[in-house]
Amino acid sequence: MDNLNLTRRGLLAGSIGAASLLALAACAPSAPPAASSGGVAGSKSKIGAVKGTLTFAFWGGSDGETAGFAYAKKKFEAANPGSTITLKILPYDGFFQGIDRGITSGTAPDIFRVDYTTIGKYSAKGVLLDVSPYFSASESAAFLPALWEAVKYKGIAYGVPHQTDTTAIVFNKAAFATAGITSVPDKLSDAWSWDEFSKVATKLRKTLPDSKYPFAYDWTAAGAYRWSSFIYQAGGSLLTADLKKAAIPSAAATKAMDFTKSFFDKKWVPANNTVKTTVYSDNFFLNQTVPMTFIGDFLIPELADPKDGYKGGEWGTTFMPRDKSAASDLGGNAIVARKDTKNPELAAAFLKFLVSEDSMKYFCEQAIELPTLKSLANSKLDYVNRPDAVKVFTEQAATISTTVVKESTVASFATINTVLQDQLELAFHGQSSSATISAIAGGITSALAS
Amino acid sequence: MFLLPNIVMIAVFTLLPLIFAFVISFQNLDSLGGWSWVGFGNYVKLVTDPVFWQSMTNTGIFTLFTVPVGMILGLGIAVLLNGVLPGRTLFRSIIFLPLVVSGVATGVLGAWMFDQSNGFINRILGSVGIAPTAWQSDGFWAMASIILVTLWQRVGFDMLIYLAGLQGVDPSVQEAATVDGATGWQRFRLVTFPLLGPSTFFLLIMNMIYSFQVFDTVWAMTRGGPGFSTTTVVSYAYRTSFDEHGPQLLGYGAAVGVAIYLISLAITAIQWRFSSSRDQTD
Amino acid sequence: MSLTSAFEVSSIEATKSMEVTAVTGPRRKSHGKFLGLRLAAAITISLVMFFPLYWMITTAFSTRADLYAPGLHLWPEHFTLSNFIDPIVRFPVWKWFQNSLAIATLTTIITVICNLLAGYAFAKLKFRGKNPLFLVLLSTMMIPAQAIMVPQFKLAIALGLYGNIWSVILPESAVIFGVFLARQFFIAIPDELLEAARVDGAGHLRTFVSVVLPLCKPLLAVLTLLTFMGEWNAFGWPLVALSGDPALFTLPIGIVGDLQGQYTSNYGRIMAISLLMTLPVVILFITFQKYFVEGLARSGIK
Repeated sequence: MDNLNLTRRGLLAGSIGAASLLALAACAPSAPPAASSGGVAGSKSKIGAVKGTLTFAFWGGSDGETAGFAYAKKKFEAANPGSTITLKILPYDGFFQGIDRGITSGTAPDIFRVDYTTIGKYSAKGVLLDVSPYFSASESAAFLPALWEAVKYKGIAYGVPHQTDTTAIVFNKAAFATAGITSVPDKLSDAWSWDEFSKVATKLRKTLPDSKYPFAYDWTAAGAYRWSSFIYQAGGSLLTADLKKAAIPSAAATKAMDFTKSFFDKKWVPANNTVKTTVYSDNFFLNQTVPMTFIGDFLIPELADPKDGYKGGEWGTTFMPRDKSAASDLGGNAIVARKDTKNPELAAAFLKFLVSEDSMKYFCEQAIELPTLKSLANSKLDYVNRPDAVKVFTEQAATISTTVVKESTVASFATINTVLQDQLELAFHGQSSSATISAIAGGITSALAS
Repeated sequence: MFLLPNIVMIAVFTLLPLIFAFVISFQNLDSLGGWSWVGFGNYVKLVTDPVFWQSMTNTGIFTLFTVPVGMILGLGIAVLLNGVLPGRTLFRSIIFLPLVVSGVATGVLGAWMFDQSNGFINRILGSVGIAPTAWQSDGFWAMASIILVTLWQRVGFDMLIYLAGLQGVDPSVQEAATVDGATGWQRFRLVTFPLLGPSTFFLLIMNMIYSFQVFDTVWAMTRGGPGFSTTTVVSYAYRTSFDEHGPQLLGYGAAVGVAIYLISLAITAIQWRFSSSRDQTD
Repeated sequence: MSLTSAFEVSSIEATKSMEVTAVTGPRRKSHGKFLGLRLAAAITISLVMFFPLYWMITTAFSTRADLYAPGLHLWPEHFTLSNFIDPIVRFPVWKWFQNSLAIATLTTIITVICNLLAGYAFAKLKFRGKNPLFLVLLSTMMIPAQAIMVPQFKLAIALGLYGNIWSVILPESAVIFGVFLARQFFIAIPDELLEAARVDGAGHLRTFVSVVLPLCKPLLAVLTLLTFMGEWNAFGWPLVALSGDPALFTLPIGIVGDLQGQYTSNYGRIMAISLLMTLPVVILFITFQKYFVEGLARSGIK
């Protein structure tokens, strides 16, 4: 470095030089998104023949999902000669970043998959195709009302509810027998109360070695919002009924917070089963750190996989515990189209095709996910794996109340979820319930205000 | 003419984006392109955000432990492997090898080895009767784990630069010191080490930059947790701007980025001055 | 501290020292004396350094059940290749390998050429504003990559690079580290050598090609290896630039991105893939390794 005889002044001069270039950059604020000018609902529900080329992007969640989408593509192209749907399978990490960059630069796929808790961001910004004109009243009434509600923003549908999933409990039968837990609820109406659930956890704790824990919960990373199920169970909610204000602090919130914090104090969950961790609730079960876990039904294929799946013996499923009421979280995805797609008719036709009975049935059976059409929800699908387990999740899905759906799909949900991530993480590492709840309330208030 | 290709590349692909990042830092920009001017709002938010200050402290601690320790280890190994030793090429290669593994893979490997319930580290501690360490649920141990993994990854680079430096040290100077009656340690401390000054300075600057900008290894290992105890400034900036399930405040993220840039620049400038003044008094 | 004063201090301290050792014998002797100890130290350090890599290999060849089986297992209980085979069957690994190779190779070529030229100019040419310019360039090393990704992406679109591999190659070639390294190397080349060529009537370019280039093989080795290594493993920017098109994916974003994805982290697979990805760079390293230390030593970074 002796040769680098540069002075400090030179260094400063250099950075000032860079700064003066800044004057070159100038631009004007962007216009707010134009109001959506969708036609009358149902006015174009008979689309007729379509052709052209569209791109459909989704993340490769599981082989079953990929197979389900490939099936729909093939059938759609056969039914609509001259149409081509290009499937783009992208990694989940970075998926929405890519979509957003694509939207701002005009290179986004025409159709993409989006989870219910993220759709609000896109509908509120006015970048999605209004699909209401393409669905007649009877067609939209064919969906489970709560899920059709999930794709709507200010009364307008901006996509189709493609599938849903929710959280329930998976447990190891042998471990339960060892702990003397003989009866496990097999009907939603018999689901454990919080007290009963606590007794189960206590019994498991007594029979397990120190290195193992009774259960794990799926509130890791963006799953933080799944914690809210406890608030709903306790009879409370995150937001007020008009979705304009935080409904906490409340007695229900305190009860939920105290209850979940006690999981750590009583060593019912592993110390690293928190929000910011690399180990998810299904990992804890798969690697047999816990004999019971809260997981989404889309993970059943993973547990049931003959080679890499669960090796701890027989496992069964049961319902989320309940307190004042039963509740579980809204999982699953909608399929949406971009507002500026060059061929909206074709996009709408493909969206409708994806949620047609046949496509949805095949997809859900392959991917072990729950349908959104009433007709399918009531019929028995031929799930390729563990239909007995799926049955529990299907019943559990009935506890995804309208309140849950409305609160999980507000436009600023991502910000609220981030507040939940940070504050729950701190709470699980010792922050008091009251401090956590008031911090969450503050975060929700500012998120709703922006 | 010689400079043109490189200058054009850097001006277009680095400086120009930097200028735009600077502009964005005065905006409220969301990931879908909606934006408005906020003046110094993002910077005010930055200095009043306790998480930013915590991430600064974390980065400081991380830097403090990775840079000097890594350099001392690197120097020690370089001295060891500079002398006549059978198989020293093999030893050098092995120590350099971790650098070849990508940052993300290193982070995942770290997460796996330090896994609290099933990782190798706790298993081997357990096999000699030591209680499992809370690498993933205790802030102190989580920080320790990312420091250890970073040292593993970087010590080869430190060794290499010091090896190169040692090869530039004239052996006759050492001989002379030996004749003067210096012991091995004295010879090293009083003759060799001062001659390695430029290597030390280069490594100090490079390592400080690397440590200050640490991201992928930490993100893959701890996600910045538990709590915020391993949130470094760059992982804070990343999460602010790019967490797909978060608010994606690109303007604020740009402000954090600009702050990181200016702070690194200031630290480097201070080192520069410190180093040149040291040269003068010596 | 000057050398003479160092000797003075050292001799004073040496006489004070309680442990004055034999000072006159040839150096060989002291090497011999500690050889066993030094060898033991080197072996220990190497084992510690190599162990995580060994663990990576062990994990890659283990079944998932084995990884979580209780107790300490130092090698795979049930040796399996499925962690390697499954991703290869499932993903277009060969296509991604070709993309990675193309991107890393082209980036390396462009970077090395730009760096050599600029390093030479900063070392040997005289022009106004040289030092401030160099410092502006040097300061770009301190920009956190994430901070400029959004503008970089807009730029790539504006320049029409989006949708092909140049959107990765060009921005990734805009680096300064190599210029710094090259500059230090060229400064060590005596000016007389260049002047001799100039007297013979050669221009700057001819001097560079006919006199300077033949001298910088070690530098070339170091630059090539470091650049290629960095680019081969690059994750952040390629993920941004190529996210629109799976056909353009590189190995890291295609496989690591997917395996780290939505569901569970399958350590066996990630380790297997990381091993496969690391292999080409290891081969490259072994090929270049004899130039490596020499290249750095002569770069003046000592």
